[in-house]
Amino acid sequence: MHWFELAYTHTMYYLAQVYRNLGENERAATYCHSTLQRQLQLNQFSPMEWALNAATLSQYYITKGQYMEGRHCLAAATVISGLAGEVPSEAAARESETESERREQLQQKRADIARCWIKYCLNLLQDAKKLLEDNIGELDTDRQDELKRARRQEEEEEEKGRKSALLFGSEDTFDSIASVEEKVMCLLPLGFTEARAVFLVGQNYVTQAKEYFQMDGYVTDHIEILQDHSSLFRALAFFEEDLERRCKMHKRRVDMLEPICNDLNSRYYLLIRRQLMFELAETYNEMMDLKLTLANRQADNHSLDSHTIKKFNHLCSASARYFQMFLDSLCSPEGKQPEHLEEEVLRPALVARFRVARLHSKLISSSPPVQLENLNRALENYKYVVQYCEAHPEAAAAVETELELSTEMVGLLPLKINRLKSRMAANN
Amino acid sequence: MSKIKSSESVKVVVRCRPLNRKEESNGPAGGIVQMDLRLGQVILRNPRAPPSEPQKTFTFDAVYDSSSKQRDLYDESVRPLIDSVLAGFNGTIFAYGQTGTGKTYTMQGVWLDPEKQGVIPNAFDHIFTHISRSQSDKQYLVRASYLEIYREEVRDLLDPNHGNTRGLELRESPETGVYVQDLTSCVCKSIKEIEEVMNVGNQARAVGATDMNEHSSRSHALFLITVECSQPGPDGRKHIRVGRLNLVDLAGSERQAKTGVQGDRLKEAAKINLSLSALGNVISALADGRSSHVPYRDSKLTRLLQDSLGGNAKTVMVATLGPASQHYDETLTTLRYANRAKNIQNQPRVNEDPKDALLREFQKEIARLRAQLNHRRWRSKQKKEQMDGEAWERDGDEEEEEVEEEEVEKEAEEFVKLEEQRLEKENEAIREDQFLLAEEKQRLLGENEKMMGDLRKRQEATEQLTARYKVVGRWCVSRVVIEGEAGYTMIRSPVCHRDTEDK
Repeated sequence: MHWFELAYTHTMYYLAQVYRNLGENERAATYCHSTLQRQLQLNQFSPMEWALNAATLSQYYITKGQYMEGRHCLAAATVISGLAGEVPSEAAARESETESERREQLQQKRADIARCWIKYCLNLLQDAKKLLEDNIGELDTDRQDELKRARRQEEEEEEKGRKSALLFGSEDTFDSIASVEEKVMCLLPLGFTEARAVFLVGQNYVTQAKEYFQMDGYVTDHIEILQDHSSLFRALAFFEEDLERRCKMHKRRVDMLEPICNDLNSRYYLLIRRQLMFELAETYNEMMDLKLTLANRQADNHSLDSHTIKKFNHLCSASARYFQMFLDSLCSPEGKQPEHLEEEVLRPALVARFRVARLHSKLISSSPPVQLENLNRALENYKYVVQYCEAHPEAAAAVETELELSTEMVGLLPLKINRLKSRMAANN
Repeated sequence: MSKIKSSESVKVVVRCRPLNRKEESNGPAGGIVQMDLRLGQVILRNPRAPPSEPQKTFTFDAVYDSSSKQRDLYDESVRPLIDSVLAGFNGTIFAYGQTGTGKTYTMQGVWLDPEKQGVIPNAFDHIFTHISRSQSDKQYLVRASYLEIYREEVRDLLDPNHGNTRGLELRESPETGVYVQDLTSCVCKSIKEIEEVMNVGNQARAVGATDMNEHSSRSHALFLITVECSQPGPDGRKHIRVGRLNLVDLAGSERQAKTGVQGDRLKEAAKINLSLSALGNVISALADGRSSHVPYRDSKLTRLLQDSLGGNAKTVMVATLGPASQHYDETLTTLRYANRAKNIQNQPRVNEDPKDALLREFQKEIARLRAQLNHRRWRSKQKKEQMDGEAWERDGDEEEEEVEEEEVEKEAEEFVKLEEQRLEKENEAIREDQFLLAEEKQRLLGENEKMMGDLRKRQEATEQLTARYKVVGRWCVSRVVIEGEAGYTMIRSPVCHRDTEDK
């Protein structure tokens, strides 16, 4: 009988592979799910191995937007990994090699499961954002209301879904798994309160994961976790109505990523640094826009006080500085700019140019020579975009809108510059 | 199909050895591997297939046929990599191929014969020649290490106790990247010394294994050369650049137990792994999507080499083939692996948030600037006409002047009114322009939405690639699937758009 059950389990497993090879991933996932379930039922599993498999399967579900199934897999992974026992203490690890290895293994695998949870929370927030945003990236309150009304129906369906889904566990574990599931929602959050709850769960797992994947020893993993943390903040900011608080969230992102970016060896970590630089540039830009909106709301007559101007300029130039750093990272070791931009960096590079231009034209200064300098820098960068696309027609498709706007600005900015120059001459 | 330009960082080259005497005598058919050197293509003929079946074609960065010279392969495909190592960057050379396909000849060759020296002795030559020719203010230090990764444990082949101790730890620091803790490294001042290190390591490798074939076919050997250059900088202080060269001999591919359909079927049989312990592999393959985390398993090799995915690090994969028809299946497998390796994107993409609010702002600013431009034109025209009006004014006598003044005033008023009307028309035109702009904006928005859709797709692709990089960073750069029986030396295959050979 036992052999028969085992053979059945294996058959599920073979079917999973067959469907995977045929490219029918959905079916393959179902059979993986079934295989895991049978392993649990028949008590033929090693806890950590099983937990990791379940956590990995959850990632499949997450990328398909099937959050209920994903959450179930993760909850089961958490519970079953607990069955692997306590982590050996440091003292025990020092005594024996096997204990030390076991400690290492357990810690790492649990940290990996935490990372899968982070992805769950992050994807949930991001998918909710995509659903709720209007065409300029702000929260569409009409859509929000609509979805809230539809929510009731969804909740009923969720219950039905749970009953029909393959549930993991045995009698002992059903309850524990359910209680882990209850800690986080599986429907898309529709407002700030719900989003914040998901965020906090995600942040909790960030802390857990960072305990093992420390900077010293696991640089790449540590940074990936930080990037996820930053993305969690960014996603939550979308739901936050209060602009001041929104700005603070972006500040957290900057504080988290800025020191890392500067610490990394620029040769070995070039690509990660580029990602960080670009993200920092965009975040500073976001903060700048928020500060401006806030200031304009307070002052009716559109004149900003010097403190606000200083703050604004600081954020503006920080953003420009990071975009410029990104651009500089594309240069050869001798400092020469690339004549041809590789496909992977084409759009970011041209967008960075575009943004540097815009940022320079936004800098506020009362000194005409400084204004002139800023406008000239702006013009220079708009020109680069136009000229690069002329020399490389295939690039134009990647930055259609930016190119159009750059062309306009190249036409119009010289007038502004000339007017400024003549004013300067007149005043002298 | 035209040659795909791969990312600069990863180069895949394929080399086929000549038929040996035994193979030649076996059949008149000749080899099954044909190469088009100019196009960089390998054409594979299935000896069991009917003539009507199309041959399989694969394209690579460079292909070397049986008449190729060691020197040519080195100069074309490896030299730039060594140059960059000497400049302080990291580089990796992978060797992949079935035993007997010329892997060892390609990588080692005949050490003492300058014509027949392989990649490794050529590299040593290159490095030490460069050092001897360098300026006197530059000081160099060359160190060599040799390690083996067997059953996911890192063993130091230069450590006499390596068989008894635990595997070594991989660590990572922000300044130095990934490194092996406590790895023995020997300072080498000449080619002779470095050769000696290699011999010691090779012997140590053989000693540990009960069955050498089995052992070498399951373990990766990594010979690591570190070149440090110290040079006084413009500030008077000494600046140190460190370049790392990894020479990796990948675990053999020939030991796959073939299950599934054999014979004349043209579709590659789906390899079903019999051992349930490989369930993880199956699930991982499903989960390899955007925005996901795959808890990587067996990846000491890939972690160690992850900075060869660094972007300014160069990677070369050398795949070796045998031309005989009895090795068709293995040859096809090697080509497929090499093909996948070629598709690796080394660059994790930058995630960009398309800003539509920004576009609206721009359109406002442009409208404003245009309006200012038009206003200036109107102003200057008004001034000009005013001056004409003034000139006209001066030419009358007093009484007439009064009347004329009135008239002029009236005319001026008229003029102003007309100008106002004209301005209003122009404003309307500008508004219409703005309307046009708005329409344009709508169109642009429509386009934008499409673009947003595209951008989102691109963003998804970006995230996919970012995730892929993250996964790739975990899984070996060669993205070769070696489904070990115990599922341990797993190097994952990418979920690429182009996972098939050229048609």
